[in-house]
Amino acid sequence: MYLTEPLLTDVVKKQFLHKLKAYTGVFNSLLVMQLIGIILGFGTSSGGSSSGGTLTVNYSFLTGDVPVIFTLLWAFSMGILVTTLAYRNDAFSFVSNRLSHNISSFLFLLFASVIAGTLATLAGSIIKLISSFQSDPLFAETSGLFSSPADFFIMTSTSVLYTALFASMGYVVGSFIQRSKFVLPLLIAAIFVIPLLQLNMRGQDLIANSVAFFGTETSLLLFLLKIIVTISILFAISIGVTTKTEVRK
Amino acid sequence: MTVIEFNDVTKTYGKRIVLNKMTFSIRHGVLTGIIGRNGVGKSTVMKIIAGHIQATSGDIRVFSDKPFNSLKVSANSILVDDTMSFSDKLTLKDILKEADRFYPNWDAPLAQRLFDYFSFHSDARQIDLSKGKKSTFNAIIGLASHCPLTIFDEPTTGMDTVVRKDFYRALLKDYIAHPRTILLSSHHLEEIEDLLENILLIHNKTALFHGPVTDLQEMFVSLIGKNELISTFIADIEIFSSQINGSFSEILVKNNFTPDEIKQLHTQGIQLVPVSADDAYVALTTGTKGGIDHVFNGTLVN
Repeated sequence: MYLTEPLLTDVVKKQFLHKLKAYTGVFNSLLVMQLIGIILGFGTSSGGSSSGGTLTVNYSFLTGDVPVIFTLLWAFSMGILVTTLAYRNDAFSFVSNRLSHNISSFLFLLFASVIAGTLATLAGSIIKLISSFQSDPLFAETSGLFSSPADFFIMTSTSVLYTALFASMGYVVGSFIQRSKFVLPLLIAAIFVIPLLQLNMRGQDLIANSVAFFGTETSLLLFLLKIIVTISILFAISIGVTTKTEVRK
Repeated sequence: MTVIEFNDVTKTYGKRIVLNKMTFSIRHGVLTGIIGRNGVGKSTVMKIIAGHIQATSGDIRVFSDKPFNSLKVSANSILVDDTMSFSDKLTLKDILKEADRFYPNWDAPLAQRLFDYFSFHSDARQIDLSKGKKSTFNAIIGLASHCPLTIFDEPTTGMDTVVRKDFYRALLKDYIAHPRTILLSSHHLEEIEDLLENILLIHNKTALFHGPVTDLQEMFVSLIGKNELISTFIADIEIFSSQINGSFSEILVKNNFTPDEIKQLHTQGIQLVPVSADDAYVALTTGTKGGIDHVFNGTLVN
């Protein structure tokens, strides 16, 4: 009987296709999260009116960001979910090693992020669309697919990239949790303690800095670059943390 | 060709030592039974071979690779045990298709025939199956994958008698048609001893015996004779088990008689009867406590 000499790329490809079939459950939860986002999105509009003489202007601000925020939460939890024991054992029922499992899981998360990020933008459009029927606007300013395709593209890309970032953060957190039972309580403590510590880095708040690092970027290319570098670092950490993990114990 | 090599392999869980400097090697194309009492580390050995868990120390080679994190070992071996699980999004039919993509030697017609024979439903999910059905389904994957190294860890858990017999027969037929290295563990040696070529007996954290089944059997012999004859005989001999049936006694002893002694026994009216591998295994792993009968007769030797 001859021995197979498998290539990492072949195994990763097979596993990725396998995960597309096996992990379909994550898209059901995405649907639920975005529906919640849409429903809550209607409640977040703010507005007012101003009048001068005979002219009265009624205005309201609407945001399509609520589904995006819910999608980010979803992405973070999916990142954790695919690192859990059940998912790992399933993967090792077929041909796998830790590296191929990590890469294929990560590719799956990126794939899911593209879908989820795009759907989130569209869900935001649904909110704007339905609201515009309700309030009968004279002027509306929004970057729709047809009115300004370039803006819409940037919006969607940003949404996809943020989703991928959150999925990666979930993945690295999940990897640490799988590594040791003590990580979870430490993590929860950290969430409450770190903001109180007011960690300073060259006189500036660390958290505010991190948020600004992504949030204030105006160039899509630079933003893409920042996200890619961050995701790569998170992924490398995840691989490092899980390379000794025992499976199917 | 050597497929599996263990050199001074130690595995500890915390302070508990499961395997202590275990050394053995398994040749290509041999059907080996991994035998041992509960909790001696049979599964641990198998999981180390499959690369699922890592030994604490020592050198392990499977297809001359270190199995932990080796894609080569993973692609050429399959471990069937009760931790074999599949996503609940996949039907049984989907799982067979997926196995076909992953394992290059996958025998789809055989898988389908076994699937139909054991009357599985295509749309069922693996987690909804009963224990015995789940074991049967996993065993089908193990057989049809035709991996050069196929490992079955307690594959018959939960199977009923008929399915168990069918499985062992299927395993033997498939092994003859597609010779490959197979490891099979079971608590019930008597069920599989006719199937096995070699036995790897794990006891006291190490490989106590590794060799052909017949060698294990020939280590011991059963003496049958009148009670009074046997009782005069047993005074200066190590007895592994004994049974009294009416006026006849049967004792299990080490088979190290010279031809002269055998002749002498025959003239005394004591019969020498070969023992089953199972009896020999029990004798090797229980020591000279004299069996459960002595507990009731109050003659337990410690």
